[in-house]
Amino acid sequence: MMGLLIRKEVLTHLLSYRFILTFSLFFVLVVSSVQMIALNYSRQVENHAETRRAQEEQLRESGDFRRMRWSGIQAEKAPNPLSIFATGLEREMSRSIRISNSRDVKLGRNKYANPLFVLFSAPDLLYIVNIVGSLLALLFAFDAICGEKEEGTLQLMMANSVPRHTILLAKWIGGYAVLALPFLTAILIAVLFAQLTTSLSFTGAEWTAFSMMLAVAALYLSVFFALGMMISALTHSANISLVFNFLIWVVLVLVIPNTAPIVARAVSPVPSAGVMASKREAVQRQVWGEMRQNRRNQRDMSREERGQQRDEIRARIEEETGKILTAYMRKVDDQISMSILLARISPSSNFVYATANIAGSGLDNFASMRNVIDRYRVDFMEWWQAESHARRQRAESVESQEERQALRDAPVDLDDLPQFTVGRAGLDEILVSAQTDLLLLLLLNMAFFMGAYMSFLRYDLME
Amino acid sequence: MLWVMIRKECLNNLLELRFLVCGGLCIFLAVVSVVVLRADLATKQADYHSNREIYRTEAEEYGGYENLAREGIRVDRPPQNFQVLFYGTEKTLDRTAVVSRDFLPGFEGSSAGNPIVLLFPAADMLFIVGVVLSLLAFFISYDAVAGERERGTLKLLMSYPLPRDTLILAKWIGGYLSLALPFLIALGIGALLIGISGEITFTTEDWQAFVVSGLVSLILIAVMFSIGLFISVLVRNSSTALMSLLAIWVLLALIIPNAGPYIAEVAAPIPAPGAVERLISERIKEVNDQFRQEWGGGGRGRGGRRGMRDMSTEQRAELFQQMQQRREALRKEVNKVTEEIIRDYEQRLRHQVDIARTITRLSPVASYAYANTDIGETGVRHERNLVNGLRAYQRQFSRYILEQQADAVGFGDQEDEDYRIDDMPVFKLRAESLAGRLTARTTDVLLLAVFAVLFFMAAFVSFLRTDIT
Repeated sequence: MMGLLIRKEVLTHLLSYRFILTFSLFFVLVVSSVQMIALNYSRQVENHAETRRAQEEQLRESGDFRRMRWSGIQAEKAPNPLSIFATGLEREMSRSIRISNSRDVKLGRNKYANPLFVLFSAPDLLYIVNIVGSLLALLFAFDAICGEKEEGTLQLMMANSVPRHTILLAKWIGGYAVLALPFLTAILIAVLFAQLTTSLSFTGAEWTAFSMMLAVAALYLSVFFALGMMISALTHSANISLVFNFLIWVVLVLVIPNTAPIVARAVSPVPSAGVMASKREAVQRQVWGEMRQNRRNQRDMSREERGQQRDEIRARIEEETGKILTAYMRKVDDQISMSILLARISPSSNFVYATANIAGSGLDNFASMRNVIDRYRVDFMEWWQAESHARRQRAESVESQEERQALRDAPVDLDDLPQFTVGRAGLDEILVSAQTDLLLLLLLNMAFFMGAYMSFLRYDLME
Repeated sequence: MLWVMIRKECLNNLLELRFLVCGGLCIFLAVVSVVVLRADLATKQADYHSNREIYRTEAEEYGGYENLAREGIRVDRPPQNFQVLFYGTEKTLDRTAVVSRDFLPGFEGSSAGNPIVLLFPAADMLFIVGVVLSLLAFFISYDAVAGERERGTLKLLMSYPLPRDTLILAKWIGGYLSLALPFLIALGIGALLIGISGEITFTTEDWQAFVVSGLVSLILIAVMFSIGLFISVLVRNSSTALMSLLAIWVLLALIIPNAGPYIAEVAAPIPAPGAVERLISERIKEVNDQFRQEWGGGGRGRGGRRGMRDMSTEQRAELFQQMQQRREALRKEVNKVTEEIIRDYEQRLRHQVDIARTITRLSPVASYAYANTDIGETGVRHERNLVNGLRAYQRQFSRYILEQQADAVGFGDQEDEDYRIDDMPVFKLRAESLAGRLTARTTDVLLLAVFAVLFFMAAFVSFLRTDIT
């Protein structure tokens, strides 16, 4: 019986205009979006390679070793292939940054970047599923029950010996299959096509993350499908059901996720980052100023002592500015948690947070990017100290002044230089970071399906 | 007759559940968005003013003009009043610039920011009108003709001595009025919320811009409604009309405007910003080397600091003056070189933006977004204005430093005894006049009007030729 009902559901959907339209829309959108952004990705990869090559060439030739202590080093994250599906914060993270002891690291769009990217969000897969996908899921479900009632076929069906839960389950399975399969097909074709025509290629870990993204998207679509069924079982006319579906969709997808961050900003304010940077620099200036004041007493210090003192001062600055930064970051993190919390009621925000994190362009990745930069800064400075020490020792044995100079300013050995790499989080880490989102999606799914079930059991066929 | 028909249409819409829900939603959204963005603007403004003081105090502590010139003064992005309606590029995290003598300034973000806003489009008036209200327009118009045809009332209507053109005109006017009504109410409440707020002060020109942007919104609603009516005439069945309109809506409101920048990036590639920075630093190095070669011999030949001990005061003063002039010349050359590169890059960037605009103008929603963000000064034009303003401020700042240092004798780095920066110029952004902004966006507004007329004509003509039975 169940099989028959599912077959009926699938066939009705397949033959409807709605299905053809949905399928072609999805297909065109997904394929062109993936293709377009994959082309951009290829360009980014080229640019990144070019930047690295130029940088290495420069390092190989230049005699700026001693200056690197102050000027630091230029670093740039390699483009993330999964970001073509979820741009998220990729553009903020992938700009080239100067990592040095003396300056704050700048993340965010480059000052020379195209302002249109700020004006509109990226039409990536995340966006298409989040907005178009959820709308289509509701459209598939909005008249599942009330529509059949209006047509009179529901009564006819119930006249047979079919339990109500079988009907509901068959409707869910049939409708969802027809919704999800074309969607998955479109994505797979798009990805394969992009792999063939652009320089996109995935590693094993990336395929795993990608399939997880698909699973989350399927879960997300089913939340909205169940929601649509529930509303359909609560109303008695397809028109009314459509209106309510639309209303709830606008609130869940368009209003809550977008308003929550701005509300959180007002509720839990954070002083601007410029002020924090200026405080940190004030500390630096103050400490160095103190040292300069004491310089008169240092005339008779030996070179080692002076070096030691400098290191102490540096450590002190590091500690004090670190404190300011930590206090500030705590506030920022509070604000972020607040906005996440406020938006949690909407499946759309859960979906966006989870997918972006899985793709490696989400909030967690932005936070860990800061840590990566910090760690690299420490590594780089350690490398510099060790290298400088080695060079000094080598230079001591050399007599001629000029040769000594040349030894100290010799170009950098690129194999020794620490590499700036932003790794992909492991599957377990991703699962931990996305667990709340996934759990909520699952819960909402069950809640809506239960809601549909309960109201369908009590549904009045004759009214 | 027309009047009766319009009344019928309006009443029909007003009594429907879908109208009540949609209208209520529209007003509710507008209120929420204005209240939230108003609070956001108030915090930004308070921040802006207190930060300015902090940055100034910071600059006072430098203790010397040379330090000031090198370290520079921080400048925050001035908050825009119109962000309460059109959030636009105000969404950016890049809010602080350092204006120093030696580098070309630009607003940059800190790694310590809160990036969550960037994950979602902002829920502002632009979004409410461009996305939600245009969906609503389709939602109200999809069965205007197709529904009546299905129910059979269209036949009934046509059996009266009622010309077809009156009928379709009445349908358009009635439907449009019932759409414009909730929008105007929402706009009115928005205006009220802005007006009574103590923190925001809209100038007369701001209010004028408010009215103009409202008019542009009304044109967009007319375009979307006409498209809906056209499809409703064309398609025989109302659910088919709805599905087709939803597909059109997805393309026009959600995809085309957003795809523009990406297509343009592939079609008219520009060098990566990192490459531009690299080019600049290479060229600066070249210029530096060149200067060092030209003058290096002379400067060192005199024996540097050691040689100076034997000089008379006049000689020393002369030497300082010479060095000052050289440094100034070098700086000028460096600035010239940097500006050349940047100007070339920006020209290509502008070209890219223009291409993105031209492609996306296929969608009236995109034209609408360009027009209203520029009218409200939160768009691309404003970004350019900001950058130019910042550069003008840098020139002012450098001139100021030069004047202060004119009579100083020294190699810098030391503290100036009479270091006072009370008279230092302050960054002020000169707003563009409303007329100027409007002129820049004439194409978009005209295009919207043309779209409105075109689709209305299409609906009109196809209704005249439609087969009722």
